[in-house]
Amino acid sequence: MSVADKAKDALSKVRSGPLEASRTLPIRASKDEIEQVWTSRTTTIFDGIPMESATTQYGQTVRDWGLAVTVHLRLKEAVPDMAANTLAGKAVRRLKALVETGEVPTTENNPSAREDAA
Amino acid sequence: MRALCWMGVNDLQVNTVPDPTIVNPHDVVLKVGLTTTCGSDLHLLGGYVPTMREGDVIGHEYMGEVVEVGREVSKLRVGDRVVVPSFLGCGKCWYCDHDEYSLCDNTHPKPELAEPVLGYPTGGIPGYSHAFGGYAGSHAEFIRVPFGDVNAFTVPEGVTDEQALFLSDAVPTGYMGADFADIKPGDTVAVWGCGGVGLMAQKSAMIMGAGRVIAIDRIPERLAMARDIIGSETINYEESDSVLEELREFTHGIGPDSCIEAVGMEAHGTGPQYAYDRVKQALHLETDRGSALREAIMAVRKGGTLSIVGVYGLMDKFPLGILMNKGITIRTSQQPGQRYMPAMLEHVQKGELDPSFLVTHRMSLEDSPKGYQLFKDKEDNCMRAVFKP
Ligand SMILES: NC(=O)c1ccc[n+]([C@@H]2O[C@H](COP(=O)([O-])OP(=O)(O)OC[C@H]3O[C@@H](n4cnc5c(N)ncnc54)[C@H](O)[C@@H]3O)[C@@H](O)[C@H]2O)c1
Ligand SMILES: [Zn+2]
Ligand SMILES: [Zn+2]
Repeated sequence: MSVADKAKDALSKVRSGPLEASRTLPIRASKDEIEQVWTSRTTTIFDGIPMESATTQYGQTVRDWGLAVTVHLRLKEAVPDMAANTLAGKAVRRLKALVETGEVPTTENNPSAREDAA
Repeated sequence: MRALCWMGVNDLQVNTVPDPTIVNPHDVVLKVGLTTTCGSDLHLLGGYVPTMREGDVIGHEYMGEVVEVGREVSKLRVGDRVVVPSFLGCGKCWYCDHDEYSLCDNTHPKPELAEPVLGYPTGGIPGYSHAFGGYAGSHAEFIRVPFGDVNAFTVPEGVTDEQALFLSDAVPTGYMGADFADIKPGDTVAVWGCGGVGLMAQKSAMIMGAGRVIAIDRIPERLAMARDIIGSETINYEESDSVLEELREFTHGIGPDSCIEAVGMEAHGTGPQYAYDRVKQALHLETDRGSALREAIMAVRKGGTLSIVGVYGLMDKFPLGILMNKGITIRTSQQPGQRYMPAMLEHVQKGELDPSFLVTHRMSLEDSPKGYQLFKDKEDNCMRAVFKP
């Protein structure tokens, strides 16, 4: 990293916190099943998350909770009011929901008396 | 469709909103048959539950008819008459697998709003703020229910709509309260609150073998229901010099074996602590007025059980030392109705439990703001206002 880039990086950290984060959750499935969803459902998992790169890392199976999966996230830019680790949490939760249930909980098309439906 | 919307603190309006649709493959859409007021909604109306947004459809205690099913729904069919516990489970995560549906890991669309307050998000619930998921509520003509096969239970023939309705929330909450009280045959159980939840806790305590049930409230008509319909002994706390002393008398100086708190954060009370709580709550320095809870903590016998089903926010001056020194076991939760549904349906079918007496006001959805006003102010003996959209 050049000095200018380092400065920019440091400044962005001061302004908005780190742009890298990770979160772990157990998922009740095999590594293969999880990887399959991870690679085929990226649009759903990262919806609204300005992700530059993301990787998974597998830990141990935690009793009957499932396989510990860590999502590492590097963001393109800061998201107002959302810490990077919150977004990593969102990504790993979506992955978990997709693997365990086949869908992500959503308020899409949610009836309400305002313009935005969420 | 028409729906009852939260438009601001103490401002409810019936508005026209878009119809819900199937979004996820396990969704079902219900035509709402009956939907009712719950004490928890009063906390929303009063502005004590943050993350409500103008225009949110409220309501979370309901039953209805399946009108549309998602492609992965296998058990339910269009036309089924169903009741749905308030909190939504996925049926697959560790919590659902352990019957803790209200703690489900996979039904909260906005976990980032719950995590900062709770550490970990709960399951989602319709009509109960965005920190609890933001799903549109049941005070509407239609509602989308995620994971229909897990959450919507077919109502057997012989169980009426009004009986089924309360198996959504008031009954499972009371039933859980009694379950958590760990009742041994012959135990004395004291229950704070004679609302729908408190009355169902009293009835459930009897079903689970309590020898005596003592009900505490201040509204004469509600105390009369506790006495005449449930068979509880009663204390009117406004007419009593000391609820604690009366309970001591009732129990030969021992104290109740279990206390169930079914009042919640907007408890009424008397004395300086109540005045302190009211001021702090009004200034939003704390969300809770805890008179009933504090009284229950004092009243329960040493080594007894305190079961808290009333809803609380962030309470200060919580007397933890009393609990510790008296060796009290506390249990509390948002109700996982799915866990209790088979047992509750069986009690209703056998005639052991009939919650339909809770309906004091039958109204159209258009009249629901009026229904909430009656329910909030406990006017016209309103126990529960039930809306038929
Ligand atoms: N845990 C759950 O899953 C769950 C589910 C549903 C409701 N709740 C909660 O249960 C509580 C009761 O709900 P409800 O629908 O019966 O409400 P409600 O408002 O109809 O009844 C509350 C009753 O408490 C009485 N009360 C007030 N202060 C009291 C005091 N100091 N001592 C004794 N009684 C007092 C009121 O007079 C009233 O009759 C609420 O807090 C609600 O949020 C929890
Ligand atoms: Zn409720
Ligand atoms: Zn679940």
